[in-house]
Amino acid sequence: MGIKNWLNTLLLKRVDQSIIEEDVLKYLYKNEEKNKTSNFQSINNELVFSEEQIDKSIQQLIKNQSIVNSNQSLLLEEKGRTTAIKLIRRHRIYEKYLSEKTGFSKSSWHHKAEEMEHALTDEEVNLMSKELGNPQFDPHGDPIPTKDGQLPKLKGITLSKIEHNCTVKVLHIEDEPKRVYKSIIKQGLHIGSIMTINFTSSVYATEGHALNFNKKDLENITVQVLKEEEEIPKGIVRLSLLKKGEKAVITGLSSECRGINRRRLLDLGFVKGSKISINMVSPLSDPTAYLIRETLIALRKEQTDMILIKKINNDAE
Amino acid sequence: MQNNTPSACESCAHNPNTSLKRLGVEVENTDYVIALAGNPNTGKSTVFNNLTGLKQHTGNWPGKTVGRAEGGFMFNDNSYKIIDLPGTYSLMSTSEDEEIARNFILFGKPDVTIIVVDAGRLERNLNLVLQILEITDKAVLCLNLIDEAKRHDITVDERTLSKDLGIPVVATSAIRNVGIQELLKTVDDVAKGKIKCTPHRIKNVPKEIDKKVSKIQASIESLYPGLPNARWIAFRLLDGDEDIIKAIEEGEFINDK
Amino acid sequence: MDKDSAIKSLLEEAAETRWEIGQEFHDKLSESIYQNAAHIADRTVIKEGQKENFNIDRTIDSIVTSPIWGFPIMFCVLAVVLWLTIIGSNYPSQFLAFLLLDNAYEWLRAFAIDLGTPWWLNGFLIDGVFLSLAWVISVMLPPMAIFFPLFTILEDLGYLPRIAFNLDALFRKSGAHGKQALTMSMGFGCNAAGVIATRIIDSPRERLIAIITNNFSLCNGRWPTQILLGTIFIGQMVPDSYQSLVSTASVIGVALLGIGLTFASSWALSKTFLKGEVSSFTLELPPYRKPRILQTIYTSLIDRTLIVLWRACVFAAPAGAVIWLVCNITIGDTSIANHLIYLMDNFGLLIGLNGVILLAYVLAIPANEIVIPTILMLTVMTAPITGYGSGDGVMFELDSLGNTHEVLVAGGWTLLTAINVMLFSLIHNPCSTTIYTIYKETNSVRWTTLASIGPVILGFIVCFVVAQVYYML
Ligand SMILES: Nc1nc2c(ncn2[C@@H]2O[C@H](COP(=O)(O)OP(=O)(O)OP(=O)(O)O)[C@@H](O)[C@H]2O)c(=O)[nH]1
Ligand SMILES: [Mg+2]
Repeated sequence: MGIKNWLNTLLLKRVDQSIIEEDVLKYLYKNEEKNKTSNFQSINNELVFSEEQIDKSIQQLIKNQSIVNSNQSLLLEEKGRTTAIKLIRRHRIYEKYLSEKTGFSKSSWHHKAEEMEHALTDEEVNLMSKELGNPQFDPHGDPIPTKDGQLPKLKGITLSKIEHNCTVKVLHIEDEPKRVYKSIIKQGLHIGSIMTINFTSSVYATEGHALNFNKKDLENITVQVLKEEEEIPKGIVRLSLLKKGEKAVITGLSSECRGINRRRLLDLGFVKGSKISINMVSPLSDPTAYLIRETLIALRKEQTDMILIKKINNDAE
Repeated sequence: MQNNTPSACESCAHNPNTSLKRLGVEVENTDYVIALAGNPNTGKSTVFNNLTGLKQHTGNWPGKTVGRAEGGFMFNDNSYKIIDLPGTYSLMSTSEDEEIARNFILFGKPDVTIIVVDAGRLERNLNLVLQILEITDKAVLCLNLIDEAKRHDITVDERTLSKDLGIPVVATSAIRNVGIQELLKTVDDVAKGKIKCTPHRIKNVPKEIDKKVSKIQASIESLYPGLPNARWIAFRLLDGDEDIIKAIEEGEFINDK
Repeated sequence: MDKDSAIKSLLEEAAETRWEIGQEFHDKLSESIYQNAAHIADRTVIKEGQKENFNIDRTIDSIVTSPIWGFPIMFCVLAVVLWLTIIGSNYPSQFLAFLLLDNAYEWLRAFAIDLGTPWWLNGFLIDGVFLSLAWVISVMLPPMAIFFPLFTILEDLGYLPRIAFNLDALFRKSGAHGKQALTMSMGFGCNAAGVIATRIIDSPRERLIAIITNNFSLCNGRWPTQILLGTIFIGQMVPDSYQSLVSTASVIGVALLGIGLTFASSWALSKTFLKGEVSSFTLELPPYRKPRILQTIYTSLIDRTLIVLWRACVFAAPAGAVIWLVCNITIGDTSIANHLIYLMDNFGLLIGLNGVILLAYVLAIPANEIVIPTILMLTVMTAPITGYGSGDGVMFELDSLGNTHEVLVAGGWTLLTAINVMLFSLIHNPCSTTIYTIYKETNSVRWTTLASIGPVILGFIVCFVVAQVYYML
């Protein structure tokens, strides 16, 4: 892996009129998914381009039979839908790429992908996808359309609809609007985590943390309810909750731990079954050095959030 | 598995037959090529310096050696080239150092790979050892830092270890020049085929995965009959290792012995 | 089936299977390998009461990384190393200067005159080549011979990773990787080595930051400059008994300033050209090991000190020759050197330096460890001092060439000049070897340019500000 490759991905840029057309198609597709109708006004409200620009692209799209205008509402034709799905594929694959291969922060993936979805060619995206092992989901848990334009539906229900005590698995966190997304991320919720919901005590909790969601947040989180008879692991907390003097066994890595970071941790023995304890803490309180498989390894706080452990009794050992 | 410690007389430093002659950097056209691999900070460069008389920098922190260094020595009238590789924790990630080490063991095809491990942290070091043994079947385990282990009251049962791993094991303390003669003798024996290795292969891979690996492995073997590390290549393919995929596309494995 | 299509179908099969197994694969495989390893280790490793022995390591660790003692200890280690270097190199330096400059030089000149060789050959060889070599050896050899072994002993002890552990929080705030503390420490030995050592940093962004900012670690070529100026200008402002203390403090100050600049420039880079976040951080802390003192001293002397000194000499000898030439070839009435110095003098004085110093930096671009010797040469050969030597270049008559302080004062140096040369020597561009290494490691002209030009500009700015403040006071 080279610095150069990484620079290249930074510098690729393309500015074009077709960007507006693509954005219009994507908007129409998303509305179609939500069973909402779209017209010139709603597009104009949503997109940042000028009225003339939008009008011009709509005319162009109608002319090349990507969309039709019926009864004041704009509808996607097959051709337009295909283009929109391709665009979504590019977006999600690129987000996946960013999450696996680069060090950009979660909250900047979406923005970068918004630019790159217009610049990347289909071949480039296919190559990227191949390199990533043809992933099925993007880092937010959204399904990625396949090469031949199939877009699987997202399973699960939104958290706002759950009103009884149960245990769920987090499937998806919507990354738009950015403000809501940031507020969810700040709570430290991870995709793939097991979350318990209990309306009598502190409602939402995951991996040893209580979570305080706003109403808006709940609508943007999709979960899958786990059935009683499924074996739900208990007592799993994050490594960051381990205290000095306590011992624990690692139960796994969170699925938010990606790319090189995940591989490094696995190489160093942060695998299921390894015993771990704190040896010392840096004078400035971060990082912490852990004793794991006979060696001292220092990790930063962000990483210890992604390592899941189960504490063990001191005397049991 | 017929590894055995040579008789005391053979391995004795006073035996004129086993004399070591350091060659420094003169390493053209040697009879054998030896690779030094192992976890970071286990004393690879110290062993290297000891054998070649060179002054590769050493230091007590992981990652001191980056890139690779070459040197040579004569032993029993044979000339050897030895390569000091950067220390790595594994051969499965894709950092620059790991690539250098991995590519040399895989494509450089050394006659013998000396795997230097820290006797006091054997379990952690075995992680890498087991991976290397998937790639090559001519290896010697150099159980280094034996003095430090002793100070910590840690003893290693070399015979069982050697039996389990299927390669000869030599305990050394490179910095004090202990065990180096024996290491040389053993390397020499392995290089000449006097000692046959039957390296350990990774066990208890989950069944469903192992089945799939075996299928790919079979395809690889039918493509390149006699390839000693088909299983490892199957592992790498399933992990999406771009270098290995490219190497296969370009037919790099064809002329393997 | 032919080979090519067989290969293709193999890769397709692999890709498909990979998709079926998914991300799990790497995790599962790592787990099984570690299980295997644990199984074998269980059968073969016998531990007895190891707890007590490891306790020594744990105790040391709890002290050197404690919230109270962690930072003071790091500071003390730096201070002690520098103090030992300064007081230790004082006498050998003086002795070498006495030997090579005051005696051997005179003797050679007398010998050459006896021999009757032409004046230009004498000048070229003795006033040019020999004089510069003599200065390189007397200025550089003693501090390096002390500093390198001390540094290597720290390295062998296992203390460096603890520094990285302690400083990581600061690096993190600067958007950089904690292992940069290791490459920074290596930079104290040699910047080129520090740049290569950045390979221990996995992620490209943080690695670039470490490469570009390594220049601010004071390297071996620049320690002697700092130590010399700190001793003869700043140390001499106070009574004798405090001299070594104050000069050590001034050098520590410069080194700390360099560390501060490392943080600041890392931060600036991670906010501008190299935005992003640290992707992965793991740092192994090795056990403490007893260094083998005698062997360390021997190898670092033979291995590092002499190699670095040799390199300096290789660059200094031709530089000395060039200096002699520019001082002795005249255009109109004045030598080329004087023309150049005159050209740069105004700008030099504006930033608290002078034309001689700037010309020295230009002449010493190939190896900036010879800056101080070059300055001394240029000063001796061009200083407007009354008295006549033999050749045109050497118009100089002081009691002792070995007395660097007098030479420099004769060249118009003040306290400000000394301070600014110390600062400029810390900040200015990396040496040619380092620049080449940066290019090899980054493979990018752009970053190499930034890493080379950026510090020069910063150096000018800092010197300018200091000079203006000094003039105001
Ligand atoms: N006590 C003891 N120390 C040793 C022995 N061998 C090496 N060392 C020390 O261990 C440290 C690491 O040695 P290196 O040779 O640099 O290790 P390496 O494996 O080359 O390390 P990397 O290049 O970082 O992978 C040095 O400080 C050596 O002096 C040994 O047998 N006994
Ligand atoms: Mg090494």
